Amino acid sequence: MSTDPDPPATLIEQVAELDAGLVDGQEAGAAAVLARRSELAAEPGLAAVVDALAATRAELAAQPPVPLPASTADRWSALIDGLHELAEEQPVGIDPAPRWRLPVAVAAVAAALIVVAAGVAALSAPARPTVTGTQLVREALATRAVYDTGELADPARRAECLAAVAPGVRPDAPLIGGRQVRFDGRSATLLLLGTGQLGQFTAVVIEEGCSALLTQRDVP
Amino acid sequence: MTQPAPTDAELMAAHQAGDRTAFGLLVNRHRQKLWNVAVRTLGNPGDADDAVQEALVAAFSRAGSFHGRSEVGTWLYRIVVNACIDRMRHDRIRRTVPLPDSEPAGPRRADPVAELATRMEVRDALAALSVDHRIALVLVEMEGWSVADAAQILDVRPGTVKSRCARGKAKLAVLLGHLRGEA
Repeated sequence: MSTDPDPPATLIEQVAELDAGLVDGQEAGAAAVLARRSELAAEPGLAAVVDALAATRAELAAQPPVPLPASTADRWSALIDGLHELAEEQPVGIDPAPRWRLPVAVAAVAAALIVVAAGVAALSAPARPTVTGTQLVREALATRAVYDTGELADPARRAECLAAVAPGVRPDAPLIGGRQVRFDGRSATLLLLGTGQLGQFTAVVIEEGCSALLTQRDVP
Repeated sequence: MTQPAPTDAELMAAHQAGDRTAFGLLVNRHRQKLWNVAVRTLGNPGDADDAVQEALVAAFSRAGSFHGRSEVGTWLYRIVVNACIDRMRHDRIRRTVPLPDSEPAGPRRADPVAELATRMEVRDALAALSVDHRIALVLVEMEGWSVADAAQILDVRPGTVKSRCARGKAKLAVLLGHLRGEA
């Protein structure tokens, strides 16, 4: 560490830029870089700045890789498997069929996505698991074959609600799945809706009582 | 004679043609480096996991419209980087969970305590930088991407990458205690 007086921040930036081939923030040729280096040669503290930047660069480069945990790699693989399953299915015209009528493949996807959602505790958690925006895609995918949508299980009520709070969503969009959740601290219902396009879904989170659309996301 | 491993472009083409194994193989090939970028950028394994999963969903969804205007790897990293940027810009990152132990199996280090301290200092110092400076440094200085490739991933000019790296490094030099002065 330097014990010299503090070099000005501008000098540190100027030297760092010169190291990158920049002069005054712009890409510059070798001659311009050399000329600026000459101008700075008499600056007090220059040697310390050069050494400090070199040490910083060396420290960054020496950082070891962070091993990918096996459990994380497994989640990614399960997610990809689930995406393949979803893409191969035909969402058009899917009705909120009872679980026992769902194809075996769908149950397998749901199982795989439960693995993905481990930690979110999607299906095994008590009523209303908390969902954040970042978890929305995974949680929405995990709602396939789940129809815990409260009053929105009624197609007429659901259409009325979607028309009122989610103008970008077809009110009669087929329900692929849904569950009661908490989102941003509010009680809400997460719906996974078909879009009429193969493998494309829309996830919406609607506040209890259909008072507001809390979030909406295309899936995948 | 063993078959040469398919290229990234061949795996992408196979995926687009309906090969169910190709996308997974493509991701597996890059997953450690995707993880490095995400965990170093976000400073948190939980956020990195979420960001990469979001990116995988996006990549899977957009693969059909990939036309090879960039390298497949560059395209994939761009999606992951954008997922990381999105999380940081929307302040959706956790702040207190440490990075996992990154000690690789291998020769003993001279001073593991000092190395761990340095690693934590670097992580904390990176976290103090702006999103743009941090990602540029992660890609170029830590992950070894060329400026040109990093520019493609970030969709900016090479000069912008250089500038972000330079400014970020200048701040880090102070934050890491190599210089006193205003970071």
